[in-house]
Amino acid sequence: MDCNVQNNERIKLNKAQKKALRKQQRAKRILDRHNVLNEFKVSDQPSRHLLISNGGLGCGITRTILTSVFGRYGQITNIIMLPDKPFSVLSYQTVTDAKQAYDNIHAIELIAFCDTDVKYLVKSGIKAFILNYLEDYFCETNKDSNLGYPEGLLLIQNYVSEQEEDELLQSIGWYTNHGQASHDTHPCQTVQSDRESMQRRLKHRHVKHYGYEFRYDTNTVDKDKPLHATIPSKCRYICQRMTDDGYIQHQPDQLTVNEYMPGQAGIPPHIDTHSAFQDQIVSLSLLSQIVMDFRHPDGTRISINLPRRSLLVMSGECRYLWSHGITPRKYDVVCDDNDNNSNITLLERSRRVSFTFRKIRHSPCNCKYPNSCDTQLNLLSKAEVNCNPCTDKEAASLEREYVYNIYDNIADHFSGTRHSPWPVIANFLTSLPEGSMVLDIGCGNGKYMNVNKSLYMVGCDRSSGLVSICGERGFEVILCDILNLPFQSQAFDACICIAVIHHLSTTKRRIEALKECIRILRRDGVALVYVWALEQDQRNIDKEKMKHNTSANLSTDGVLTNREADTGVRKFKLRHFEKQDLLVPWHYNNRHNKKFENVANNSASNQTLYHRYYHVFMESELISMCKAINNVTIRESFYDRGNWCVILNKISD
Amino acid sequence: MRLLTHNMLTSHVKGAESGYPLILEAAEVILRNVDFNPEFIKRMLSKVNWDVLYQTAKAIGHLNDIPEQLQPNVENDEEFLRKAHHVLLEVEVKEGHLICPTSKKKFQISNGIPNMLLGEESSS
Repeated sequence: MDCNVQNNERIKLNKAQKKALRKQQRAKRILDRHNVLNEFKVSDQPSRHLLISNGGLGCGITRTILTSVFGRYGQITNIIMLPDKPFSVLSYQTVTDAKQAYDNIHAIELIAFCDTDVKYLVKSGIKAFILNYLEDYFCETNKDSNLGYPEGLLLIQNYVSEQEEDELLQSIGWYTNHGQASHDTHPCQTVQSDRESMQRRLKHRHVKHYGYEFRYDTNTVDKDKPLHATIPSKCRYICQRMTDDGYIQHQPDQLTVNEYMPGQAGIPPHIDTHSAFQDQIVSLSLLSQIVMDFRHPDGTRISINLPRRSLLVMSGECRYLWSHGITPRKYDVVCDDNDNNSNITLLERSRRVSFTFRKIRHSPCNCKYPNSCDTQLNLLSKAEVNCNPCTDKEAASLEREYVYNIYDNIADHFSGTRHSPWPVIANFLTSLPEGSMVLDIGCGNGKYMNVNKSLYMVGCDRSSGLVSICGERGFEVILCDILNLPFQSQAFDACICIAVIHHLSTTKRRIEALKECIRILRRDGVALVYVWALEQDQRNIDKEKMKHNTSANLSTDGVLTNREADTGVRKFKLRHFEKQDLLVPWHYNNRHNKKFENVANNSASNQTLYHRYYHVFMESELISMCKAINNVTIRESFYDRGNWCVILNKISD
Repeated sequence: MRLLTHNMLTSHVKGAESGYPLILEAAEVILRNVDFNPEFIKRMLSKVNWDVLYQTAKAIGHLNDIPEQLQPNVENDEEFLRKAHHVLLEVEVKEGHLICPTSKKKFQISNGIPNMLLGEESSS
């Protein structure tokens, strides 16, 4: 029954067909009104793309429903759903499939499908889908717009009846919408000590916890401290229904009830901590609708209206990767439920209560989204995570993500832990002639910049956070990359490069870095280089050796010495490394970050874990690297506090 | 950034034959007192590119009467050493730009710190 046919055979149309045609034409007009992208063009000819004018998010239609109804007529290649729009666009692989779907679905009463998936559609007032073909070109350009539901999000309308809504609210002792106050006389079996944590006036909402307290500071629960109040028995049938319907796999053991008053603030975007909860997290919206915002790490943002008495199911990508939150607003733009075809209306927010059910996780999370997963981030240092890049590009990207970005994030904390210069390095600097020009490559917070005031010290670092700290301390610093030192060749008399080269992730890059250090030296210039040693455990065992080597003076005999400049008392940490290329955790204390100042004062929640990439050196490795550079000689080579160290002399330009 | 540091700086923009000397555009200059050490300045004189120092100081309006040519036997001329001391160590560019002379790429100086990262690594 495509448009062409209709135009030619108008006379033969029966009453039902005329009605469908009217709806179809109306759908065209609606499309014009909503045509945000100006790219949706209705076609008179069959095409692969169908406009479902009353099949959009704005009408409460889900991707799942569309897949279930339309999937039976062919291979669906794409579904475009726009937030708050009543229509959606569905593409098939072939025109034949699309035509088949058109012929079987357009204006056909949905009741004919007698499918559990579409049952609620009928309930919500949508009797039949109105379809139009769309011209080809736009669908291709919008393929990647990704404006549908987040993968793994399900929204089931009218999941509870009004009566059940009342019962649920009463089961937790809260007011219903009809204004009857029912007090905490119901069988939550609370004891006084729990009540405080169960019911707490947060700044912008009223909240109650059952089973475990959900902590908004960490988005987690304290698994060792279950509450006396478990999920109220009167809520349990809902849990059973959700399990029976297949929306959740595990019976929930944690419930958070939130009351949002009109005009109050929302809830900041967050992901429920992976290690704390199982996959499916479900939330019932009672008393009023709300628009929830979902954000993908790539910046995509999708706003979805959660109608009153609907059930939101977040699983998979939606639960693990997308954050969700509610923007503080007084109004939400939603599609009016009473007119499925068109009306976008502005609704004032009113009192809303949400019931969020979760299942506590007792085993490590092994989801597919390691970068958002606290369990897997914790395991990263042991995992085989791309620590052996093949190309320069991969290496640069690894270093950016696991070295430079990390130092920028932890700069203030890192600086706070780097106070006193190490004696061997300080001695190297004090032994240099007065007026020497010295470059500190990877100067960090500048702890060596001020050791010898008779030198002209210039520092440089790849972390803007760290060079800023140096700048504030009045040191002369440059933000730059060790592989491209922005200095003239032979500009300096000496340089130090402490704990830097081990952050480069290929041998080639490490050699290039060392060459850069040498390039900026004049002939006879001298360089001191420190890199982390693999053999830290071994040194730990070798305590005798360390005790005997207490001299911190430089020897100038040119012999390779193995000299621990240590007082015999180790204040520094020895580490055990299982391999050479790895990620090393840094426990960042949020106290140092003003952004988190107002967040919870609980000590456990104040730590953020970061990982820095290291290539830890084997004993001979640094020496071999230096030998690969033909214009230097190794003046000294030694071990100091978990580092392999060399002093090099530049012998020619 | 002091002019002594500027004297050593260059850029490594790919394809640009020479990044030296960088053109200095100063939007904000601060003057900071640094203890005068004649021995130190004498040593610096043998290390700096005087012409670059002179042109740069002139360009940002802080020439402080230093001569265009470095004269012989200036080591004992305290007045000269003090002037050089001022130009080398006491003039600091707080805000401005460094410009590669061949590629014309601009590097920002912000809060006294030049950002010499080339485009490809600075995306972080």
